[in-house]
Amino acid sequence: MRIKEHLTNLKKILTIIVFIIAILIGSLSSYLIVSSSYKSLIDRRTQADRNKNTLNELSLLISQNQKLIANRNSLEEEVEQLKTTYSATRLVRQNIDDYVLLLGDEPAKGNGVILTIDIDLAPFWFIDIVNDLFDLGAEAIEINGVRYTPKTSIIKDMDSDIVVNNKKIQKPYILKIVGETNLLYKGLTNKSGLVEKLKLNFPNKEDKIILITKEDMYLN
Amino acid sequence: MNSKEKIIITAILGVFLGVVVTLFFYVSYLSNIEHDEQDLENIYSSINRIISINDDLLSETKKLEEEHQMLSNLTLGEEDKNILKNLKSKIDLLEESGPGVIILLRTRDSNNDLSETSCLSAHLRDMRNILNLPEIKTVGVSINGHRLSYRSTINCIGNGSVVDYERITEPYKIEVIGDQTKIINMIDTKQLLPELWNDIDSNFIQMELFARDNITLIPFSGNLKSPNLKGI
Repeated sequence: MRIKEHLTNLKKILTIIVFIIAILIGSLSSYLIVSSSYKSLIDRRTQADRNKNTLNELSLLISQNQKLIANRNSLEEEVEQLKTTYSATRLVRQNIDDYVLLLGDEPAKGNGVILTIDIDLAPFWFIDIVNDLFDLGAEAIEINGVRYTPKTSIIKDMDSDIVVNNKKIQKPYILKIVGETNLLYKGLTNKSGLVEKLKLNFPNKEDKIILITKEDMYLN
Repeated sequence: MNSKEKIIITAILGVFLGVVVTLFFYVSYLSNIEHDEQDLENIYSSINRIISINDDLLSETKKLEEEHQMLSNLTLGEEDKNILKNLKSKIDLLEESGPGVIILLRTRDSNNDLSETSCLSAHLRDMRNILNLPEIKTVGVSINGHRLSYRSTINCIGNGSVVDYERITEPYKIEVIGDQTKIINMIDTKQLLPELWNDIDSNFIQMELFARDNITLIPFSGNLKSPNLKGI
């Protein structure tokens, strides 16, 4: 009686094993049939994935477009003002003051964000960071107390130290960025943003990258 | 039905199920890819549309800037005119002429199959690194005729490079006004441009330098307005 029961159980187990093996054979054989076109599919997939980054680039282009529109509108207003003598004089004086601020010849203040990076960075990282920050509409940048101006270079000297405007800087690197706070914060923290890029390139050092918003920040 | 027949039928059902499941995944995978490609086409068409709008905006902006400059000059006394001119020159808002160097960068097409695309991360990195050199920043610089400011950005958009708002393609022609010897020496210093020289040494890109007696750069025409930056 028991032997009969055992046999029945064995048959059931055998049936299940046969079923599983059959599924595997079915999957494998159909996989082999479609695999002839699979390589080209993988290529297309990779291409499609790579090109998905294009969406981020599109948003960058849209933001540039908005900046251009803002620039044109502001120029239109200023040209109108320049057509009357009083407002023209006032406007030109304002332009002179603005240019002095841009050159970093005088201290300035403004709202924005502070990005602290306590990681050793090669000069090209700073160059990429500055590029990304200006893309996000940064109006002024200060790195460890040194203003980024039209004449600023970020290089490595003979001692392998990072030098900004002839001043050596060391980590933690503290970047004060004046601009539209929300735009800067969102742009820096979104999926393709600078903070994520840094985290991806420096795994396990997430806590070494800190971004905060700041009002009335003083720049040298 | 005996047990042998049962096992044969189970095996057939199993094979059938395996085939169906695999084909199901294959078809949904295929449809996802087609979706992605359709999306991509839409994105590229939007990119082209925005680039064309940006081109129009840029030409409008240039006209307004000319008018702005003319009206500003009418308003100012001689001293203020000089102050304004000096400041504008420092932030790349004036036309500049003088001796300098032309740097040509291009992909070595024999070396890789990516040469058909004009935007490579190496180009971006190399251009950004060259533009960061102190000697490049003395007077003025342009890429493919587009004058740069210190706030200029270089990015990949689609399969092309975009400098500020303008799309540029290979070969990348960087025109720099300044001391020719110093500029060439600085570019030749491998320690200052390790990534560029690595790309050159590995035959990835090609660089040519030409000293020129007279280079003219148009003014920067982008936006330098800073509404959030205040004096103290």
